[in-house]
Amino acid sequence: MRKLLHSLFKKGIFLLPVLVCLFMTPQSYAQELIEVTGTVTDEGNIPIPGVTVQTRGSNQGVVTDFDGNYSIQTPENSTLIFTYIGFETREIPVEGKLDINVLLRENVSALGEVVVTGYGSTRKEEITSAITTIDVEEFNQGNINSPENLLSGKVPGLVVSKAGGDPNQPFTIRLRGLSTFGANSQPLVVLDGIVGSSLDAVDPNDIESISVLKDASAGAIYGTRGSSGVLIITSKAGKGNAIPSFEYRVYTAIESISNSIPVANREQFLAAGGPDLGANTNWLDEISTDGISQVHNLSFTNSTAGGLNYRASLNYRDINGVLNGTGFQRINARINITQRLLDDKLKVTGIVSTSDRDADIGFSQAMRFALNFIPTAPIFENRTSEQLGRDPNQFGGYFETGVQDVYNPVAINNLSQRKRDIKILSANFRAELEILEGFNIATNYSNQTTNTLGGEYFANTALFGGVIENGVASQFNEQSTDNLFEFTTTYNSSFENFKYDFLGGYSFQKFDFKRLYAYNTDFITNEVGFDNMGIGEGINNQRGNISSDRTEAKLSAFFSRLNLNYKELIFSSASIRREASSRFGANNRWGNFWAVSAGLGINKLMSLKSIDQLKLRVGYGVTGNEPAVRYAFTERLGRIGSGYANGNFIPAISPVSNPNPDLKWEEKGELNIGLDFTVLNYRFSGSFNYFNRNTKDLLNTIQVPSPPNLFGTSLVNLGELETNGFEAQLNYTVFDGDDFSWDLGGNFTTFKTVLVNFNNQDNFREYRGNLGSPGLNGTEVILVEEGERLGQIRAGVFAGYNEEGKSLVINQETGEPTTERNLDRDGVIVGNGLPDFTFGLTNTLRYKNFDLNFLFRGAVGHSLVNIQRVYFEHPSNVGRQNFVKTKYFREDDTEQDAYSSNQVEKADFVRLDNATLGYNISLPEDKSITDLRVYLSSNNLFTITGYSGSDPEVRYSDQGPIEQGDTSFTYGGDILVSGIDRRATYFPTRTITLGLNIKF
Amino acid sequence: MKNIKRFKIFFLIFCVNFISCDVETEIYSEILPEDFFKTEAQIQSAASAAYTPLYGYWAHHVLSDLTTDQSTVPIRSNNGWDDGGTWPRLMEHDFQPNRFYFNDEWNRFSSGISNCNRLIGIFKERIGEEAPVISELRTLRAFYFYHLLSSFGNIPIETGFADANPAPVQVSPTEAFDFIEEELLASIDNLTEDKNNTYAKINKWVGYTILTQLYLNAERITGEEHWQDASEAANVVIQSGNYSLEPGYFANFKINNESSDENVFVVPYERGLADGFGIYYEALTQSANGTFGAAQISYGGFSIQEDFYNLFEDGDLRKGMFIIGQQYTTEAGPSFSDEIGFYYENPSEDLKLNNCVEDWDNYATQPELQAQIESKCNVIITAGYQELGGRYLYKNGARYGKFEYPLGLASQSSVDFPIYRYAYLLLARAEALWRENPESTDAINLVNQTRQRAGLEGYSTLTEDNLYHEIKKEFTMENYARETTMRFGHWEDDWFLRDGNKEEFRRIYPIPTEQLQSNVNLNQNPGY
Repeated sequence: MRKLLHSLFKKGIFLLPVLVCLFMTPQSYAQELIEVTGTVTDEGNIPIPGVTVQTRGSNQGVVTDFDGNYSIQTPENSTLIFTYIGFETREIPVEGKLDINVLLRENVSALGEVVVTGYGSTRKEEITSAITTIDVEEFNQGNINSPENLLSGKVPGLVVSKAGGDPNQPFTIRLRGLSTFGANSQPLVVLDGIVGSSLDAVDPNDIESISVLKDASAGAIYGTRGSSGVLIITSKAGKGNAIPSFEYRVYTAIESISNSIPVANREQFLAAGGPDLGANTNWLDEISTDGISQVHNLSFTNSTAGGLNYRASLNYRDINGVLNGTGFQRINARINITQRLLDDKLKVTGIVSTSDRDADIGFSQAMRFALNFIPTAPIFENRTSEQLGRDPNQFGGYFETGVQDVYNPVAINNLSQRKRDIKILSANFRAELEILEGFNIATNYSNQTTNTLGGEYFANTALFGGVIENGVASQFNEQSTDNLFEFTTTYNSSFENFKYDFLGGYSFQKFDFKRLYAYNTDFITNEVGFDNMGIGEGINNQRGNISSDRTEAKLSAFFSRLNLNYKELIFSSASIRREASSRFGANNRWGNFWAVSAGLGINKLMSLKSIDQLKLRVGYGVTGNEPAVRYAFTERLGRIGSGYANGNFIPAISPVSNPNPDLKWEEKGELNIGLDFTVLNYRFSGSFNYFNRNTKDLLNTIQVPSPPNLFGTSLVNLGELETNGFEAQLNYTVFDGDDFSWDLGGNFTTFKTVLVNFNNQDNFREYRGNLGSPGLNGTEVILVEEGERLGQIRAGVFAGYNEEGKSLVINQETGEPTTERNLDRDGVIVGNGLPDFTFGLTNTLRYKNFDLNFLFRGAVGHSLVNIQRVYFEHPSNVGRQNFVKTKYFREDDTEQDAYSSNQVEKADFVRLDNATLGYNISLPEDKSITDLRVYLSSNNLFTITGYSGSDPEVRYSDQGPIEQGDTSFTYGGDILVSGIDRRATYFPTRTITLGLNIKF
Repeated sequence: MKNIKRFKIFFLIFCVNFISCDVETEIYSEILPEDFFKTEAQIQSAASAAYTPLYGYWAHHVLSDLTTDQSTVPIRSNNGWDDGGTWPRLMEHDFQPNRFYFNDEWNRFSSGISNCNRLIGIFKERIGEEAPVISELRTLRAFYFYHLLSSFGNIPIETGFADANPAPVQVSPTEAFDFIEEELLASIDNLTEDKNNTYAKINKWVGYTILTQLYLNAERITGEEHWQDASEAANVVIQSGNYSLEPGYFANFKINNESSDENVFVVPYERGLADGFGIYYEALTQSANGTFGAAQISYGGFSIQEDFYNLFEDGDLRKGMFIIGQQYTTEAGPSFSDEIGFYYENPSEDLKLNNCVEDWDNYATQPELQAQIESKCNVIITAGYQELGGRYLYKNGARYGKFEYPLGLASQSSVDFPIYRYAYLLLARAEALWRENPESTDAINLVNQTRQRAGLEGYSTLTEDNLYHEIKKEFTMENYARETTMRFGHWEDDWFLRDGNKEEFRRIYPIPTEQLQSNVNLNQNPGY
């Protein structure tokens, strides 16, 4: 199969037909014509290349060159039409003139906006599906370190969230809720045509726009992986119209913990009866710091008269988290070059980017132990070996209490390390050829390789994860390669009152994944860690291991789309993608994903002056999902452990999973009904969408009987999820003057996801979300139930305290309060982990050179299980650990742990997510500096919530009970469980950013 | 539109030449079944997979011992081992089908069955029906079936793999019993008699021991007695002369117990290779790290019930299986001998173990309760249990010291866990003979063999309680307690932390919720 890749490079066959086609010139015809020439410029007198100049009533036209010049043969008495995307179209009668210079004005109304859709772009007014495009002017500002964060709170239906301020934790991205559970629940990312790109491959500073394809009628063109929505990211390309420009953007940010959960201080701890160990330590202060970060972005760009556009940029980020020893450094370079050839008929684009991220992941567990480590304990051991019965330096000199699974938080990050070094190399080459007027072909090849080197070392003195094996080191190296080849053809034309454009294409994609993992223990020194794993002795005593694996996957697809526009009144679009995935058995590989949609320009039917635009849209489409695992359809053997024969251990070779040869595509049908309006002379606009999505044949790992199956679970197509939702977006220009303007925007999202069917049992009910040990093992608080919403939280109904300070819950059989804990008997649904609705509110104010942006973001209706309170808000634990002291705290509480509705809290919140005050410094015309801007920005300046935990953010998935001494590390988790605020949560942060942009 | 047509042609050429539109993939790091089973070593490796579910045999302890009057797991002083009622309900016989231990038990034995089913099918096809490995696997499968039957009563009997009924149906306990018996009888003569090359593997003697256990428990499972069958099956192994009692009881439980002449069938636990014997976390006090020089602190749950501990007579050498009384630090030399099990070489006054955090500090805010802890921070393990505020001390209850702990404890033990010992055959035969004839002198002689090894006087007559207690004492911590308790009719007695839930349906456990969800043909056991 490696040959295939070589052939991609070597053969280059795909260029042959392109070249052949080049020699087919458009036919010309003779007529009484004059030659008109001129220059097209914008309001700033800058020439505009690429403007279409046409004679009215003819399909013939020319395009302005890079100096904005054109020359056209046209009848003497004709009218020339000048059109350019984003500018108002002008019609100018020739009246015998031979020289016509034209000024085009930028189209201020939203109507002219172009929206990037899958494999193309469309004028916004022709859009018939639910697509939102956010471009660089609208992006979130401040300390933004990943592309998705640019969109947070801006797009109805799109959730970009993360609880806590861990700089390395990815955001949860959810579009219109959950529509799958066996496959990818995050949207597909398409970066400059690289389908399935990593979000890390592009720096936020290099992004021009992001299109969010929300519904199936938009996403079906990406059929296979469009089910959870699509984010199309377009990076900045060459600009400048023959004037080279250089831009430098820099900011520095200071980040601090914005909220944690209150715990007792030394005095309160002693007053509650805690032991005095002779010190007064604020553990949170000891493990955290103000994280100072700096970000630099250098870029230069130009488009030359020779048809060359380019942009090159270099980004450097040095991000430090608030937890000591967490953060990352990233260098990201990107070059985007476009060359036009053959009278601009051939356009070739090359984009190369690299990203090198060195991350210190650290151990967020330190934060939870900072809460509950005894405040009277010193950082370093102050007792003698006689008092201790052991060497005081046993744990690197750090004080340890000897309590089961409790660790000195300072020691955790100081003695051990966890790093990730991620390198991404992307190359993208595209050639686009106009064969005939309106008829284009294009080929696209891209390669993206991500190499991740991860290492962990737990020192031989680290009680947290290290001493048990006298030092533990591990390292992995993962390389994933994504090769994509695409060929597309487009044809635009018109027929009587119809304008149509057609897209046809073929796509082939191949994924390779290779991984090497090594683990060793028993280190005589802590000096080398995972950088010299051979130092460890464990591997010679069955206490080390090594493993590797390699997988591949392929996709092959034909796709096509036809857009029709009838008199700018009715718009329609139909698409189909027929795709094969290697992840299914031979008989189930191909799937058909199709969509139809239509829009009606109602305002064109009525002549209401006050309505600038009113459009009704209806669309339905089917998208698909393939499983995350690559070979589930066939039986494979692997090592499942060690067997024993003749007195020796031997590898036990056995199947690694139940094969399912019937595995097939998961399919999601989605109906979207939308209404877009613009009124009050383009000052007030809005968009509403209602959607219903239904996923069937869910890729689902269910329990199966064993025997006959070898394993008790199989990946099958079973289950159904249905989501109904409504989204609204409104924009209003409150005031628009020369010196002062004020734009107000708001968005609102609500949806409800119901588990219609889970497996082949009737009335399926299952409890998940184990709160976990210590103390709360077997306490499963989330109900997953057929016919019900996801995210239901169950608890006993809290009924106060009894005289002994034990908390009471209502016994559901007798109705009487009881101190017994019987969740199966007394648990009732007391909340839901998912919000009723989420919203965002943006304000953009400008006064002379000042501008002020702020974004409020919030969620309403969700609850959280506050585990910190369940387990730690009990003063009777002072012998072992500190206690939490929120507004619910009771001094006379004598519980050790107690879960009831008392700790399931409403977590509605409104957050000032982002506020930026900027000033554009006026510069004299003759200076070479063209733009100079300074700004001050803040992320999470404040949060209004009644929730007593550290962060009221919705927990869309659950990482599971990472137990106290558990050194493992996961992001993501069980997507059917939401609403649990886990013990090991990184605290939220507030960032103040000071930035400068300079351009010359 | 002409060009479009041309384009289509191009498109096709393109597919054929360049990409082939083909999405066949290669499998690089896993083996396709057709590429395996080529060499003897590969066949052995594949067959060994059928034994790996045995690594879960120690975890069977939860349902074999913690539900009886022998072991217990009370809520401890830091409220540990409540876990949302997980453990208290188990001990109260309030068996809730969604608790993890039921599903674990089901999966443990049924995954063994499935592994055997698959391999039997493959070997029948590749080596032929008569291959000895098939008899070996059928016998092993019978062992797994027996335990599934013993725990859950109404189980599906499914021996197919690829062509099997996707949702097997339950059969009656008698049908299941008959099936297991037939399987054993059909295979047993084809099993090797060579004991030396079958350590931790099925041989003929293991086969007869499984048969012994099956017959011994027949009356409990089916209502029909098989005492004579049991005594005869046991006698085959006894008479073979392959096995004998080790002079020191604890030679069977030390780390290097491979040389034991007594162990008939073991789980070859080996830290790092065959993990699953996590006894240290479960069954030592939290303070035990001070004794064994361990870095990690135990969770300290399982211990021995006081009444059961008191059944052991003074002078019973087997009492060395308990860690009890004053505890000492590592310097005191915690040791393990073949004869007396766990002991300290130098238990001197100045090496007494002190630990405040495991119990004392947990009562920091309740001085009136704290004052009732007699030994304060000194670690003196008591046979009795002292309730303090609805909880019990970590140092309450004799601790498991039967299996040798190395210094610098590891979370996984490397002691080979004896599933069957020669002593089991002696006492099983004794019980079977006694059931038929309570005056049987053969029975007395057999019982006296294990008693005398324990340093005790032999019995001259054998009462029911004498026999019952001898079996329970001899096999403490060896996963026989539930069976024995039921055979002697004591399952519905009262004991520590247990005084209700005595309906007869609780003699078998509920079918786990997860299994009911996996198979529409499974019905919950009556009563649950």
